[in-house]
Amino acid sequence: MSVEAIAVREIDVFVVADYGPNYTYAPSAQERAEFLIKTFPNSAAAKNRRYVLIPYQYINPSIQNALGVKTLAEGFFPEAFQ
Amino acid sequence: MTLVSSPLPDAYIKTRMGRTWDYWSHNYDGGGIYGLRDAADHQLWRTALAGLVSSQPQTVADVGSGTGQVSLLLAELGHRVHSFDLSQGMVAMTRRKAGAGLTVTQADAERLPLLDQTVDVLVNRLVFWTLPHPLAALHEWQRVVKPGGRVVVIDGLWWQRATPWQTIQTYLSYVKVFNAARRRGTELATDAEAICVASIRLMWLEALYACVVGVAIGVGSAVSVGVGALHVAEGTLTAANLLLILLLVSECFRPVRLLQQAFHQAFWVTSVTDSIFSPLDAPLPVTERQPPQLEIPALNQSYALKTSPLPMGPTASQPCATSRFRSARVNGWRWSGDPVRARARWSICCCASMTRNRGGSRWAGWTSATCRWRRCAARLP
Repeated sequence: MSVEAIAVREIDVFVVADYGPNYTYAPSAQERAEFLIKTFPNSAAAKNRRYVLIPYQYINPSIQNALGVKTLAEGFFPEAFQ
Repeated sequence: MTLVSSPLPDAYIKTRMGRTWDYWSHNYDGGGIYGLRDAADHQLWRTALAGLVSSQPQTVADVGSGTGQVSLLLAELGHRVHSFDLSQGMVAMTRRKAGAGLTVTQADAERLPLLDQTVDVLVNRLVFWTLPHPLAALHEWQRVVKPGGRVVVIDGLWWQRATPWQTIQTYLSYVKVFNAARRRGTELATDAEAICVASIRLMWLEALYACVVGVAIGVGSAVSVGVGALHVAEGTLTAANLLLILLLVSECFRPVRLLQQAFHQAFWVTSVTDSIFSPLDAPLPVTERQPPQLEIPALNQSYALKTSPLPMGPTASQPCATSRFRSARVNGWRWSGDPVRARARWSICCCASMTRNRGGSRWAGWTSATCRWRRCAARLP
């Protein structure tokens, strides 16, 4: 999907895979979230600075997928978990 | 049932696969794919794996062990674990961590250096999707597992197949293999049924769903084409408008098709229940088996090097036959006796030297009268 195609969508939350602190093949999750906010400044997600960092092993096929669902739910609807 | 397999030579794919995972091996744990985040994760995996193996010490093969996360957990549970991985780098990473009860060997998941019926449980995690011949691997794993043992596949459906029909075909072939395995007495991870049956149903749902969507799209478009054509014939609709309508109809189906992807990151451990899969009890094709290579205790030989048929360039024992007058044996061929082959070989050698010269490497200073392969002293004609 191109950047233009993403920019057209109304993005409420960015979801960023977190590879952990020791991973050197990609920038850290925080940096990539900042990059997204800079790249799509007009989206609701960037205006409210809303992003979810999800550990990479939670989105890989594993028994931790259930925890991934929880992480996403907490990120998307923080008010429900207060 | 045939699976779509790659047209590239197997040895080439395997070499490239090994190198790819070598590259990733250095920081694989850091990536959090295998690396466990905390004690809670550790306990979670430990419990899950303990459910898959017996409480008594067993012989376990971890195929495609990666950095050895699953192997180490199983060894921790008191089992004798044999880890196999294609990548030398991954093997080194596991070896660095290996303690008692864990042996590490470089081997191909589709051709394990094990005798028939030698392990109680064969585990693999996030390996199945990488294999160029998954069906062959399943057959191989069945061969290695003892009667009453288990094959545990932990993996995901990483991407959508090209067509719904391909998806169904793939699932059916896997399911058939496991069903046959069960009839042979190989019990497959029945303890993990809470996850298995649910996920198998998911798989089936997806397959059926894909089928329904395919039929619906087919029937829908056929009907609309028919009705539209009638209208065009009556003159109440122009052909251009008909095309537009058809395009809109196919667009309507797009979100439906996207729904399928919801299943694709699902976690599945494959198990078998006869009640679901009884229609698939067809006899399996007889596959020719490789003779067993090694006993388990003597696993320190490099398997990949022995069987690689790739021409890797001349070595001291197999010098390159640059001269057509020279009798040399390269890859089992006597090049000098056959002028056509000799010329082909000669041009390959020239190309190699030219490539190296263009790159500005340290070989550039060599005279053209000498073959520029590293270990070959042959004179060019």
